[in-house]
Amino acid sequence: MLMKTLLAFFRRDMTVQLSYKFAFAFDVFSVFFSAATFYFVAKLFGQAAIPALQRYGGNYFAFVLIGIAFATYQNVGLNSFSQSLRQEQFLNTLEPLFLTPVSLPKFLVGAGLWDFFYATLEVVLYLSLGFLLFGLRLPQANLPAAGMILLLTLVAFMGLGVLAAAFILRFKRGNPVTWTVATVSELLGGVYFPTDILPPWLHSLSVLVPMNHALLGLRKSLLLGAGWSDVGPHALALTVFSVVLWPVGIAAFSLALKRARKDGSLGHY
Amino acid sequence: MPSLTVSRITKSFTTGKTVKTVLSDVSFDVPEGETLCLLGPNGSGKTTLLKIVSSLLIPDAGSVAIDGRDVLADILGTKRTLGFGSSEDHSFYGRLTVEQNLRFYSDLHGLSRADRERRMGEMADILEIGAILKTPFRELSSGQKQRLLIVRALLHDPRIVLLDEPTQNLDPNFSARLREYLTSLSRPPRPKTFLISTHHLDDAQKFSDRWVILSKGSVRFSGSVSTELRRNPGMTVDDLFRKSTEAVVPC
Repeated sequence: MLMKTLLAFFRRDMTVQLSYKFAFAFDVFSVFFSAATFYFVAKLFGQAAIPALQRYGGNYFAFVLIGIAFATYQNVGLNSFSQSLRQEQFLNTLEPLFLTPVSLPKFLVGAGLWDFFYATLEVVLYLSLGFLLFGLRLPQANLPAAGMILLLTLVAFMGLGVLAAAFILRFKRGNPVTWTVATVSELLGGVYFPTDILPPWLHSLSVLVPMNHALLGLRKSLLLGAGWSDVGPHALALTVFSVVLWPVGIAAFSLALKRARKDGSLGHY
Repeated sequence: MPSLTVSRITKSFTTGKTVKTVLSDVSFDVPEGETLCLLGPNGSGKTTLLKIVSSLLIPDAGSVAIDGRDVLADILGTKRTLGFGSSEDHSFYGRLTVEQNLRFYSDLHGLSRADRERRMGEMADILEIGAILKTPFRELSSGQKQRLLIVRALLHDPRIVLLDEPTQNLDPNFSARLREYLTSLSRPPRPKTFLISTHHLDDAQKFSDRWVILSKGSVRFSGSVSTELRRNPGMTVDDLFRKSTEAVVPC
């Protein structure tokens, strides 16, 4: 029943997405232009950026490509559930959905499944373009370690997304979770530059940012071939984020749902 | 034991500092296999009441029970037992076909492929959806959308069916066929219980003899229409409805 429910959501969202013929083509172009832009930024920096990047293998293009590719998951995690919820409210399909015997966690995971799959396609596209056109090489990559970090990253970001969706259900617009996490991650997430170059007090705050742990773990495993002992602390941090964010997110969403069922605002947008 | 029991439901909505009471102390029951029509002018609280019965809304006071069990105590169980055809005829995914829409909802209800095809096959002929299964929902007419709402409400073979204005947008011939079909569903061996809201007296008369008339959120009449008319010679259903929905002037 779990798989059937999740597949139903996946099939629905895939069919809707594929019905927009040009959307996929535009996404491919966006990924290409983004990768190309950072390739030339990396060329501009040349050797200058290398000292700060020694810990990551010294190649800025490889560093930033992994950053922007995997940051996609955070964007999806933060926006997928809440956008899906708003879309259901807009289409008047939220109430019919809540009339089906699908439990809240299943509904939430199902609602974001296609977006996470699509984000994975984007990540693959980023890396493939990097390999094929821009000379990206990951000779030391430890793929099992990277896979584990990726899985934990997805679960942690989904937890953030559930919390964000609770705010959308309650307040409709203006989502403090998405805004705060997205804004803080810009500076402290380490997408475009290593957080080591930040002042020590700011660098110490980056420990609290899930994106920072996700990217540190992924870069260490993909660029340096780091093993379990090196990525372990980041895996642990992501696990802690998940263990905290999921129950808090589900509790917040349940409260928001109960409130919406009391004030009749379930389908409002 | 009654199949559906609505006990002393009260519901208010707050907008800013204004509190509007939409339902006040509403009670009735619907035995298994019976159809009860919920009548009242626009804004009388019919849709709000159906949403409370379906557990989409939580009442301020009172309770709804199915076979004596509170609907809010086992929400997932309630959703398996209930089918709700709302009056919101755009509540499907416009870019999916009718078949894809129905498959999505049947999957969420846990229907097997065989069950889904059997249920859809049964209803395809009667509710005339066979020819539109491959049509995207956004291309349907209002009447076709209305039929789809009813199909969705019945798809998982619920024991209790709530229909909000089911004949809205339907032509008279199809409305008659729909009534006939719904009546057939309330017969043994698996009698379904129907709670149907409408503001059309004609419709209500054809659906059932048992009415609850709401006005301004309160029950103004509850019982058998034919018994009431027999008790008041010369009274028509129009009179009964008018009398029940007239503004109550405080003494």
